[in-house]
Amino acid sequence: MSARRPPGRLRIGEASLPSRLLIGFILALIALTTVIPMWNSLVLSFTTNTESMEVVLKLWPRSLSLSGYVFLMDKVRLWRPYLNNIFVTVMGTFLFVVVNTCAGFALTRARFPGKIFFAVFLLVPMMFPSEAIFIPKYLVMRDLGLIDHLWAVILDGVGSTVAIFLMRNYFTSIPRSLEESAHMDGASLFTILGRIYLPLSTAGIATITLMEMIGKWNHLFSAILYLHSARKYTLQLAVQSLIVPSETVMQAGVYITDNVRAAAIIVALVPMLLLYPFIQRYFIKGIYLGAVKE
Amino acid sequence: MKHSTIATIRNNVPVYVLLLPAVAYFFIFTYYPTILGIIVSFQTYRLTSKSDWVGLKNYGAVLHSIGFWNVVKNTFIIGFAGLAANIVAPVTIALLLNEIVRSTGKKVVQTALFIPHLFGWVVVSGIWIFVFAPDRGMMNIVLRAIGLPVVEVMSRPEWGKPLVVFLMVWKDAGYLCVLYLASIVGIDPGLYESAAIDGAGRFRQAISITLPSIVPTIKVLAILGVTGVFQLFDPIWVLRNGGNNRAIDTIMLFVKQQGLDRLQFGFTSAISVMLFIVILAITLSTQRLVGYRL
Repeated sequence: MSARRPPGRLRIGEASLPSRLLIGFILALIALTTVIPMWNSLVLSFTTNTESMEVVLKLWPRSLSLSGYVFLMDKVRLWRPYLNNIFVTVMGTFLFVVVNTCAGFALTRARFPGKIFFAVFLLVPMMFPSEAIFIPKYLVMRDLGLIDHLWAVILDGVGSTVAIFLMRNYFTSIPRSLEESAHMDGASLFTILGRIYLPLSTAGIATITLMEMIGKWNHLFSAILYLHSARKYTLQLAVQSLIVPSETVMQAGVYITDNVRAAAIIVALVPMLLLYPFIQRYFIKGIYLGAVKE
Repeated sequence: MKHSTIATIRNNVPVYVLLLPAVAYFFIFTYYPTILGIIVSFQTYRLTSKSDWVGLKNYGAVLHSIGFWNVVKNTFIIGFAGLAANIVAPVTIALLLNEIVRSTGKKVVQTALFIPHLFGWVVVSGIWIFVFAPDRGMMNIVLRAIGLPVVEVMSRPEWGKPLVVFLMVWKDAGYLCVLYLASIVGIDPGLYESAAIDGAGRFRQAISITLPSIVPTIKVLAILGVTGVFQLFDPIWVLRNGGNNRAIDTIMLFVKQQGLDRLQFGFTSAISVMLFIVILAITLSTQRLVGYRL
């Protein structure tokens, strides 16, 4: 018993070599179902226009061509939906973090009139199927004059019960004694939040930031609902209109080849790949830590 | 007494300021639309002129519409098949990964499987179109090369539902697997030691100790997944086409078409209200069924 084993690892009765090889083989096959299609898209994005339309396996490009990417930015002008998407992601994530962090912090305050009412008011929407009510939500957006404005997409989903209570739990884990001296110095609530609590809950803030960045970068439903003119299109809508050769593509008189489609897919997913190290560090580690604590 | 209440409210003004954005958000975009949806469901809602009250007429029209029952059927089949597959696949992968002691291989597989979770549905479908396309798709090039008939996965109605479920698993199994691995880490190693002393092999340990220990996690993720079943939209929107739409169109897609494309707000609000009630009832009853409260 004295020899400590890492938890969860079955060290006793080590599996036989053949069964370990079999498991490794199965897992490798499963992993290949993600690696091969992604690799195929990457290779395709670097082929030339004609090469991309040939009926052959593309596991290695014969020539490294950037024509797909050039066409994408120059002719398709994907940079506009790309910039829209960056704007929506940055603004949406910023508001998401501010709104939910503030609410989560307010709920940690000792006693104030209406505390239980507000806690319930913020908790109940989790039970609501928020997307199922999109028709009346569309009417509200229309009354606010936000249809066909990026702000409709930015505002949609800014409040989140999960994020509020996640931040509240982070804040409650910080010892109260830390803020007592600040109280004596007559510091305001906002100073206490900014100087004492926020620096100590960076992991929590990183978690909800990443959570929302992934969601906002990949948002599709709200763009379909609220954005109508091509100038306002965000990335996913624009990429989708390239992948499915729709009438708008025909009208513009440009012929979209597979290398352009693949390039669009690659530029849409690269920012998320860049986030992966951070996701690994905060998101996944957070999940593990949560499991250990329970 | 009254005076002191006012005084405590005044002392707590900063707390209310912090709460205000979140409370306003949920009021404007969750509570108010829900109430509005209920009202509109009893009206023939018009965007420009006055709306008339029509009682339960919209509800009757929904229940008698043939299109509606088809999308209900599709939603149930795809939703619950997807939910089940996204329990079986990640749990199996987690159990297999848990048998691997060499950590580099384990990390590579885990990362490869997690990455698709970061992609939007447009990217996911785009990547797989290059695999499944009838002429230039990788899979059909290989099938032709070995003399087998081409399979039109993307457009044949009989492949519609399996395709959606497969891509739901492809996208999220790796992420869910991380959650299961996290709960496996928390299992008391002593359990394995006593099982090994009783002569249980590794396979037996995985089935009799690891699997039962992660059942609570399975329950929680299943409950969280139920709401999603009825809100399936993005995967359908990116995968539907003239060939497979009758096989995969879901309730959400039907509501979007009838509501926003044909402006039948009363009719679609009736669907939203019914959906709302069904989701709430199922969420509450599954919570009781599996003995877990959110």
